[in-house]
Amino acid sequence: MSAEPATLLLRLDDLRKRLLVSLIGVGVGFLVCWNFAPAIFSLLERPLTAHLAAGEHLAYTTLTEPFLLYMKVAFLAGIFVAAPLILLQLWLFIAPNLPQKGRMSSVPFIVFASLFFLTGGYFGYAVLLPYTCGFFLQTGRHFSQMITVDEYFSFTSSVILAAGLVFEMPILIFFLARIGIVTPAFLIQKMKYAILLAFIIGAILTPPDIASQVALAVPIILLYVLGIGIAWAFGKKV
Amino acid sequence: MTEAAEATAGVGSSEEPEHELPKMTFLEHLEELRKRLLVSVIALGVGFLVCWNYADRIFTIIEKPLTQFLPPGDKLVYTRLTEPFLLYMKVAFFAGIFVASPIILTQLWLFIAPGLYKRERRYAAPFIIIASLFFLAGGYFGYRFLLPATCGFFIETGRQFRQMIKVEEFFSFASTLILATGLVFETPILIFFLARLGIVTPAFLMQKLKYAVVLAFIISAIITPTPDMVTQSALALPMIGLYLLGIGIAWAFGKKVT
Repeated sequence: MSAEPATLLLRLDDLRKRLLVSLIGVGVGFLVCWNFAPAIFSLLERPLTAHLAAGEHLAYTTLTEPFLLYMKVAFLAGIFVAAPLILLQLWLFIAPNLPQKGRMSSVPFIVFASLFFLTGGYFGYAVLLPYTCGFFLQTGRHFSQMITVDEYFSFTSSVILAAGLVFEMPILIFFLARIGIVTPAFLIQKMKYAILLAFIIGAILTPPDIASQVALAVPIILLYVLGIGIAWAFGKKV
Repeated sequence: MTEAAEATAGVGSSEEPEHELPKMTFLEHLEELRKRLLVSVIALGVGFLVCWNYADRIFTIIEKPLTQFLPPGDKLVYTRLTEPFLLYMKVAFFAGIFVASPIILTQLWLFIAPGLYKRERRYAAPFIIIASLFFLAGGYFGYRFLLPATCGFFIETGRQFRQMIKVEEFFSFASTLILATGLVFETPILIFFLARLGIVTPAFLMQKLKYAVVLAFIISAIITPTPDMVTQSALALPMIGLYLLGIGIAWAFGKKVT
């Protein structure tokens, strides 16, 4: 690929191709995961069922709900399985815009982006979910628990995906620093806003008690600091 | 109440001659509205915070008209993890409206008061007390009589199925009913104002009584979600009674034709 600026139409054509390959990747991932959907969901429901009495199950209130649930589970798991391919496509789309001199191999990007996303997702699953499930079940102790699989899955998947995306922040800072939009000095200067924002995000994504808010805000701030280091090491030199 | 009286005195004592309306520009009115809204919102926020600690106990009271029809041990259910938490938020907000209602009504009065003559402003305290009382009486009426009747009707209708009513659904049902009856009970206050302004007279109200009766039945058919006549009449009859009370009020306090 040459460094000469591509026209808008060429970029759109490229985007179309990248999206198509990503979609095919997700489709294959979906088919692979379909057989394992019940096993995957029993892993996902563990943070909730750990708090329930033995013999208590999640509920479904429409006939097709479990089937559609497994479709969604297979789809979400498919995204994770196809993640390296999707990230490669993203890289191929972004890379031509980076300065010729600073261009680097796609391998570190894919490895690190996948690693951060998986770490974030795992953090959401292992730390945030048990916390939030315990809190909300405790709040509802006066009523019969009859949480539907559909509602629980949409709750769980949004927590896991949100945590995964939040953990991609160093990657985002890497690109912004590479292009020259942010510099380490700028990031350090805006540190106080970043800390405030981290606590706001922590307040929105977790139940309204301070412990869980801090549990999310602290990793976000650490990732931001890591981002400063990355910007310093890999940023565009002035 | 002292606060209200002071505020009214404050409005009355601004240097303006007797029997003359204070002159305010349109922008001043907007500014005034902004201030009144702000105070109301703050009062509501404080009411919310006060009620937040009691939300579960308040909901126990609200659900009683339903749970009395259920076999012992049968509870309401929730199907979303966050549902009980959001329910308690709503309950605290709902109870906060009731707690803050005297202040909100005071603000409403203070906004209207500059448009009235000085002697008319003497009604501030009675207006706030009576409006609050009517609203509370209406809410209590809805809770005590309408809610058990409708709950009984619907539980009876669903006897062939398994009861699994969601807390959120029940709360929105109960709160609509209670707020609606509270508002309906404000009819005499509305008539009082209309009569004061000379828009309605006792004779006019008497003449339109037949329409009021029809309207009362239509409104109560809409508010009470049951299609049975008993619940409908249980709301419509008090509404007609309130309309008659309104005629009495219009006769006693209305603008005299000279």
